[in-house]
Amino acid sequence: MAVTGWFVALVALGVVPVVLLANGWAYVGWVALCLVLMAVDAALAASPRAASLARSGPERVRLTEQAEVTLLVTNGSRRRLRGVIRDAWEPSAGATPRRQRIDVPAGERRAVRSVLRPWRRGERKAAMVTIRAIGPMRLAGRQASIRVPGGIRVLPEFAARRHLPSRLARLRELDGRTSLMVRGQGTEFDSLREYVRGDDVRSIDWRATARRAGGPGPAGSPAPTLMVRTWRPERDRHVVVIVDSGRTAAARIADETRIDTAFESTLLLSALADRAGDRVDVAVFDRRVRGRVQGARGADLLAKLVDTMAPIDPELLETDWTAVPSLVRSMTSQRALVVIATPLESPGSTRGLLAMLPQLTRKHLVLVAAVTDPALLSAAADRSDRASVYRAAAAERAMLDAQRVAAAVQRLGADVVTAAPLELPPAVADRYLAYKAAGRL
Amino acid sequence: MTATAPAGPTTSTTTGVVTGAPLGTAAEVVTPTVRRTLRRALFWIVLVALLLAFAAVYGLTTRSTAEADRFAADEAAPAGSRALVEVLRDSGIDVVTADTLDAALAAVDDPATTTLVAADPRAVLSADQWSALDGAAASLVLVEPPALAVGALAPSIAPGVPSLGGVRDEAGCSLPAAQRAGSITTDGVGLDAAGAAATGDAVEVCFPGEEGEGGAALVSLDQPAGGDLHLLGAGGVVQNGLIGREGNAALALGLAGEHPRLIWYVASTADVTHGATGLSELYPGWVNPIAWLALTVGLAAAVWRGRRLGPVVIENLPVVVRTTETMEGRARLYAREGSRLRALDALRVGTLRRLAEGLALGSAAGLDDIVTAVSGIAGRDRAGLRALLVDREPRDDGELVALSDELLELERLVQRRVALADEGVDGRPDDRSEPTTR
Repeated sequence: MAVTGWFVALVALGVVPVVLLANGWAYVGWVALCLVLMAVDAALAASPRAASLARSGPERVRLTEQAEVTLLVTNGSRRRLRGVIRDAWEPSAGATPRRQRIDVPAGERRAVRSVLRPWRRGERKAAMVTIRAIGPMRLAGRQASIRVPGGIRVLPEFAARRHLPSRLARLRELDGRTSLMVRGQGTEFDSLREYVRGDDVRSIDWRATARRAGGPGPAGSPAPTLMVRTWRPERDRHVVVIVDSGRTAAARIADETRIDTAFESTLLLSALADRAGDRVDVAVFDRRVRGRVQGARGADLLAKLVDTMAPIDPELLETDWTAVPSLVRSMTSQRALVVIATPLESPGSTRGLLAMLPQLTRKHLVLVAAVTDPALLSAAADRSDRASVYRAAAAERAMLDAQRVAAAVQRLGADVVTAAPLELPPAVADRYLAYKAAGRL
Repeated sequence: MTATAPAGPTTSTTTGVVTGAPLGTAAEVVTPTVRRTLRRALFWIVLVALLLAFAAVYGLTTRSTAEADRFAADEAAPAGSRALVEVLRDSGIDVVTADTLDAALAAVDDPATTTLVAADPRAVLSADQWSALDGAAASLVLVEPPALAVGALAPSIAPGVPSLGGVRDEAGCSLPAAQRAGSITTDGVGLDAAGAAATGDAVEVCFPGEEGEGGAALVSLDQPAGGDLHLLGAGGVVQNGLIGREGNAALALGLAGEHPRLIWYVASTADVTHGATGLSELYPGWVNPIAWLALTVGLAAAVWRGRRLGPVVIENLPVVVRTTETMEGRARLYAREGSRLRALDALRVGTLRRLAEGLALGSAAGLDDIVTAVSGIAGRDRAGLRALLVDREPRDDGELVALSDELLELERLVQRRVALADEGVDGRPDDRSEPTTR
């Protein structure tokens, strides 16, 4: 049951008979009349319970983008269904408009469209549909909430993809330089081609040159075409990314949780490494494996990654680092680049990581990608009054702690990349390219 | 399905994957039906109905005593006078009750055999109306007479002051009823008959009381037009609550039962002749219904706006953890404990690290190396630098702030000098020997 503003106006219209009759009974009679009209109107309204509802729309939407979802309302009653409908989603799904007018003749079907602009990653559910059917006199109506299951998966934004073209260009540069590249560690034989001026004379393949010339010719015959070997960076290397989803990943830096930054870095690195021909395996881990993508390549890899990452929120528990070496062993048997995305904050909170690292560095190339807080830098530079001097001291202290941890990680044979949230993904990608160029993979 | 379903088949176009329930699936209705709501609320409805019924029955059976009509002949509450009236009626006296002056006067058949008891608890009668009672009956008893009544009928008596409680056992007059009573309670008003004695009128002052006790309880004198006039200040004597105490009953019966006919008159609002009888006559008749209508409109508007379109949707949001919380906490800890040296050391370590980085000294550079290099580039003596960077201990917060400023100054100076030196390497003339303020 619900009444409309018209009903209120009707009750207020009782002023006329009450003043004209100047009698208490006029009031009682008018109110009774209004109540009867209301009951009749509500009884004449179409039953919202008789409406059958169905949803359609996209299954996934990327964060910051919008999706249109459609709700089909079929009027199963024999009266015209007219009124207001509200398709209620979780608040962070950002559904607009909140309520819409509908007018469905008996037995027909209409589509109600609303636009979702989600502002949070994860599974966003549709809660329920509420229909208020107003009677023919528009005085009162009937209302019912109907649960229609539905939802949409909001994928990570992958804002770092704007860094991808420049890194891919660098990768191509790297590939193009291979002809000049001298054979060495981290390169593999690519092809034979004719010598052009400027090639390193050390890369001339004399045997191939001889074969090309077709055996030793008579003296004075035209000079044989020189053949050079070209080399390219090794392909089919293995990149393993471990994303820490423990309690420290829940912290928020510059309006982005650390795990989101880690996801952005992972996505950029995966896209880049996949183009470079390397295999990428990703695991999200705290005390158990929260998500895992293995053996995917090409476009499938990114799709699987964002799909796996979307519903993962940090757990408020300590990451079990002792299980990570066996996790890496289960993902790769050969030497690999292991990227660990975790914060490096204080010696206390990274003790488990430090204890585990030697087991990984013995076999793999390990890179720890950590987010730093730009607020620390600004706090350390602000010395305006007594309180801010103490804050600066505490900030310096925190930075010193982080540096000590980074130094400890480096002493254990791993590399460290630290950067502010927005700079971390390109910094990790750059480090990967540097490894590639140096043949360290 | 007649015609105009706009979406056609539900499998939509490019991005379309049907999620949730397919078309036609019976979805779960979460709003309870009216019948179910009523059934669920049945207990409370019944409870409230029972309570209302009980309250109605209780209110009807036990008349409220809060608003009792004082001295009313049919009022059984302690403030009423039903006991006296019934006793007189049982003993053969012809009792007539009246609530208007006209009715009371009309009820008088033969003034010689009539007692008229008049009370005006609401003080509605005017002096003229009181005067109309003059000579209406052989015995006129005014119970708790207001000042107007005393002024109109017995101008020599001064209206008294309220007298609360107390018992007087000295009649002090020759009135037979008073002498029979012996002692009475004196709840009501007292009367001052000193003026009457001075004028020499025939005044009987009964139960006069001591000095300062609020005057006499009963004063008897003659009506101006003939007949007895009893001013009964102690109204409690005729009330149900007190009539059984002391000799109250004897006095009351003696005064009221003097003649075979008794007219018991309690003035009501119907007696009011001067001005309006109440507020209700000042405004038109539709004002009250309009007020009720306004209330009803407000109620309807509350129902209209208060009915929400479906329940609130709740969502579990992740907890927000700020990374700077540890830093802030540590800063407050430093400030509260006054750990100036510890705070300063943290600042110094940061400065040293940045100086070493800026001068490309490498991470292995010791303190002395840094001091030497900085003194060279900044042109400061080593001892002063060493004091700033290591040795000096701040004695208070002001000194700490000053030292921190000096550290920052030094860092900036070195930074500028290094930048200038780099420019000099690039071949630019190094003409800005004194760094300008930025």
